[in-house]
Amino acid sequence: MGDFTRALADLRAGVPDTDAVNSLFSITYEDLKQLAHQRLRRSAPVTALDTTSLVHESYLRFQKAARLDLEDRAHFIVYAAKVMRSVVIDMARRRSAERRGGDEILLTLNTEVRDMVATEADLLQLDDALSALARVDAQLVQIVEMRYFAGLSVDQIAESTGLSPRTVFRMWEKARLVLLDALRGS
Amino acid sequence: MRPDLIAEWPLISRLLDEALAVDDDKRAAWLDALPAEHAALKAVLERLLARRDEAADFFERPIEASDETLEFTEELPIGAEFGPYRVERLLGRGGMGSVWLARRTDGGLDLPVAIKLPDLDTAGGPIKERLERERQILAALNHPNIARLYEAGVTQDGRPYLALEYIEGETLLAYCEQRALPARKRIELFLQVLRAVHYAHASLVIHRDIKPSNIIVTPGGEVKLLDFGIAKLIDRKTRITERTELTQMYGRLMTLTYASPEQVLGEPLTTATDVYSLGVILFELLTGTRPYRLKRGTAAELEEAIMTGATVHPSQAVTANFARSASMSLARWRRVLRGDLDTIIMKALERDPAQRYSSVDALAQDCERYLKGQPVLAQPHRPLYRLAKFVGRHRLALGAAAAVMAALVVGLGIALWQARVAHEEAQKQRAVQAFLTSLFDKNTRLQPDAAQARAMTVRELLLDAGDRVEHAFDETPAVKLELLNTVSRLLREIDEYERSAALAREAVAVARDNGFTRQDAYVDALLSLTTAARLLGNGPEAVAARDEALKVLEDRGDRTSLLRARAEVTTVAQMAPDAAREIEIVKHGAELFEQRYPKDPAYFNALWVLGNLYRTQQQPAEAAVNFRRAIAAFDQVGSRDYTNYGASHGFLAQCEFGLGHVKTALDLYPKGLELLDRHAGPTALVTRFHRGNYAFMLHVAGHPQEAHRVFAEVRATQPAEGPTVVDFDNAVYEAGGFLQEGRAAEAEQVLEPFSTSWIEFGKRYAVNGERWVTELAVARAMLGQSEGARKALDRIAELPEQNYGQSVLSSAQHVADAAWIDLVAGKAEAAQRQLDEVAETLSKAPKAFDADFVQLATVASEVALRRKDSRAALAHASAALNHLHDKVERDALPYVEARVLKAYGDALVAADRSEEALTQLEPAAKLMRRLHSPDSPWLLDTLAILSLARQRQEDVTEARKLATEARDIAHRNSNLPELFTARLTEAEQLLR
Repeated sequence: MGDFTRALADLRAGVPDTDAVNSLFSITYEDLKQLAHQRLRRSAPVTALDTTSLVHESYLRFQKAARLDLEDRAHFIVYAAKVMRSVVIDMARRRSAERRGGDEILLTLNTEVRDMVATEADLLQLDDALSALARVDAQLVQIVEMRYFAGLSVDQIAESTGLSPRTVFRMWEKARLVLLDALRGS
Repeated sequence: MRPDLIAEWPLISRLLDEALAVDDDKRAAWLDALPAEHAALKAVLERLLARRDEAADFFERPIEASDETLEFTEELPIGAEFGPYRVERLLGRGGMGSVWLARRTDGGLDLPVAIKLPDLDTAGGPIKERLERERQILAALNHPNIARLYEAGVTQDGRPYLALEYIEGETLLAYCEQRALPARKRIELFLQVLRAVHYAHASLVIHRDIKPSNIIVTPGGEVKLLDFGIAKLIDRKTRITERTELTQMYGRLMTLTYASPEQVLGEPLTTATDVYSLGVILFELLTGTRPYRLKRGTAAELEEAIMTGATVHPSQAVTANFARSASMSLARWRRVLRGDLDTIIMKALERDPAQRYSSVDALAQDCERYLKGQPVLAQPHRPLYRLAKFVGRHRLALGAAAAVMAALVVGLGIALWQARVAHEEAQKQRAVQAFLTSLFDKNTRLQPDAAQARAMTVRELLLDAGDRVEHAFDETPAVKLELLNTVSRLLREIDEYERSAALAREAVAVARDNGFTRQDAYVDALLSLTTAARLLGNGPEAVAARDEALKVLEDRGDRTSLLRARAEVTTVAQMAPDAAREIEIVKHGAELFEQRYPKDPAYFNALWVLGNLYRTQQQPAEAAVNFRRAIAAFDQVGSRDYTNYGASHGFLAQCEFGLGHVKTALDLYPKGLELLDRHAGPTALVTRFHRGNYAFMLHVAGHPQEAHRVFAEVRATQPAEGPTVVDFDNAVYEAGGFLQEGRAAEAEQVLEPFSTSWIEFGKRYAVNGERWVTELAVARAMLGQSEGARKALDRIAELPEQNYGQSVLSSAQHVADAAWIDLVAGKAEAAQRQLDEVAETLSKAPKAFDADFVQLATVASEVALRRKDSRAALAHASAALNHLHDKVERDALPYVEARVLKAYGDALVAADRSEEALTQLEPAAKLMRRLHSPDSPWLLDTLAILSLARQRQEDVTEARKLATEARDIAHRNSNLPELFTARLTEAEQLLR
């Protein structure tokens, strides 16, 4: 966990792409992935992934191990949101690949309103759109990662980014329009 | 991200900020006002902003972690309309279709609805049948815990669609997990599911696809069951059809995880199938996992596990993770599950359907027993278990030694009791099912052709059912009781009151003979009897049954159950010996509904009954309040009682009318009549009743021609077999109108056809019986037949004195008419004596408007004047006029007003205040010229008084003209009573 503390310090100092940051990514990634799989195994087959509680749970685990302070928490969350996006997208990509050859346990008739969740196809497209958006507006992408992939509230995001809740909400609203436009337009 | 956005992003981003800061309704204007240099971006911005709601919705959706990716072929444009609905946005897509959020556009109830629509390429196939089946089934189900069907239709391109209740909430599992609910709370929620499924079973519907995603909990904690798509009516097809159909559906429509062994095998399904699925869900709800331990997780393995019944006990299956998510230690959660909950769930999951709970209701009852700490019936027969339960429940009351003693005695009793109950419960359910099946069997056997089988009427089926239940099931009295209640209720709903009452009496007898007098079924039987007896006019029997039902509940300490609420609003109405008590009872019942069961359809009924009680107790203000509440509750509770809904509008109109809100009343009535025409039909008694009332109101409000036209409409629909009570009422109202217009002969003519049958109708509704007699008397008095009038009035003694607990003869209206008849006969002193009886009523104007008070005071003024007491005459007439002008909109009651003005003017002339008199008499004459017959004796009298007033003003020319006109009217009437010509004679003498 020493790496982790150091990586956070680097992050705080605005030094990306160090070994420490890279290893932070892989630690966080592994942790979130593991949590997600546990959760899924428990409540398969049709499950909405509750990413918020995953990020939260992951944070608690790191906090225990590395004694994070409040400022660390803000950084961690911004970071974890990005990692969460990777976890989700990777899972979607893998499952989508498996689907082509794989075997399904169940075929569920999904006409109920409640079964409606973002599908893997949606997610993969969304990821592409985010990557494109990142080239012109990186901050917007950060907001989306935190709001959508990490499920943080507008207030929490404001806290972590130092922006006003109003601004965060406006950015989130704007990002949604642009992303849905990309999803529906292509 | 689309290329056109990337190119101009900084500018677009800034403009979007601006656009989003603008209010929704001003955004279009904002776009139009874009400066010229940005005009090129307008289309892009419009495109982005148009998807605002959809975007918000999309990003609210959770991320999917599994399940297949679904492909779609066709988009339905937002804004598309089909039927009365306009699509607002996509809620979601599924394997064979899509679900859309839509709203009504035709001004109907503005609730969001979920529209289910199959995709084009699948629309012709099984999905269409499935939607059709769902429609049929949902139309028959009306339960607060089942998503409602609003409408089913076909789009222009021929796709069937369903408009369903739009439900927001979380799935049951997610709801419990997020709130970390303890086991008890989970079971309480689950009970709502059980009640919904039980209700469906009682309606002969099994769901067949109960799974967690079909069970939603609203933010208010209310459970809703969705998707009856593959549900099926029980026993409507042979076993063979069932097998083939399911084999085809298998794997395609079914959710294997919650499927029962017989479903996997493709065997015929029963209600026990749903019991199994519910067992799996309860398992998952309490452990976070499924009953099966799978290694590979393949479909084949799952099937095998279901088939072999390789299930683990819930207390063994629960994991530490799950316990932690509910903020509890694993050991503690295990302790909660071990014992009763293990037993309940394992019994629901028995591989052999016959070994499971015999019904969902039985499962529900065991869950309730668990919650109350009572012994559950599923528990194997172990004395120690019951002893533990008993002592557990009475821990505080019993010392250790006493506990052992008591347990030995009580334990034995419980064992015997329980063996009997469990046995009977199973037997009862099986017998009821067999019986219902046999009804359909018989139907099909008699009518081998399906179309003809359908044509066999419900009435025939039910009458037959009633006969059979009455003579069977003597070995199983509990079954008999239940069936008698059911059939009695259904017979009542198709207006077979005699048979319904007979079966209810039998049910009461069965319950008493077998000591079931503390059971719900006994109360049901009594309530069924109450209603049937009341509808048959059998007052004492109805009252006794209802009071007994309330007593049973009281003795049980039951003050708040739905049954209690239902019992309290099962009114005996006009049969009640004490009207005030009756209102108190029903009022309490309505409050119970409001506080505890505000979504129960019977809540509408409760308010409707309460409105009617107040109405018949002449308390129109309270009645109006409750009819309004009933109308408001109607949609909220999902009642289907459209006829009483329409009638509520009618009665509300009547009450408003009674309160002097004439315009409101006349505005309300057409809507009520439209509803009644549509749902009950124009020839239905209730529709004709209200149409007749509407005509009456039109008349009183000064629209005589229109009124007579509507009266004629009612007359035209008189049944061929002879006049009904409505035709009687109609005659009474129209005759009343004719009398007001000064057309006594026509009034008599309308009343005449009922000269022998009046008493039969009058006994049923004494108020109109009294009206018939009194109007006939008034008509004869106006035609100068004093003796005939008196004789007619004597017939009133034949009527029952009480009506809804109120005396008919002491009603102000009757006293006023009777006094007036004496006055016409020249017996002013006798008239005064009658008025003295109601001196108190006369002395003070009531708070709310009371037309009877106006009439009474008017007559009192006329009598006083005749007795040369012009001071009293002035006082009474001005009291009448003030009350009228204070409480009623001007010109709303022109007939009444004209007569009051005349009386007041007359009194003023007598008091030598002729100038003031003119201001009353001129408008009186104007009204009468417009509304009365040209030959009206009232007009004659008024013109004569006016002539006297003119003379006092020394306007002799005008006075002479008026006297001549009055004399002409007198000539056209033969045999006019002296009362109408007295003033004319006086005027003519003075003019000479």
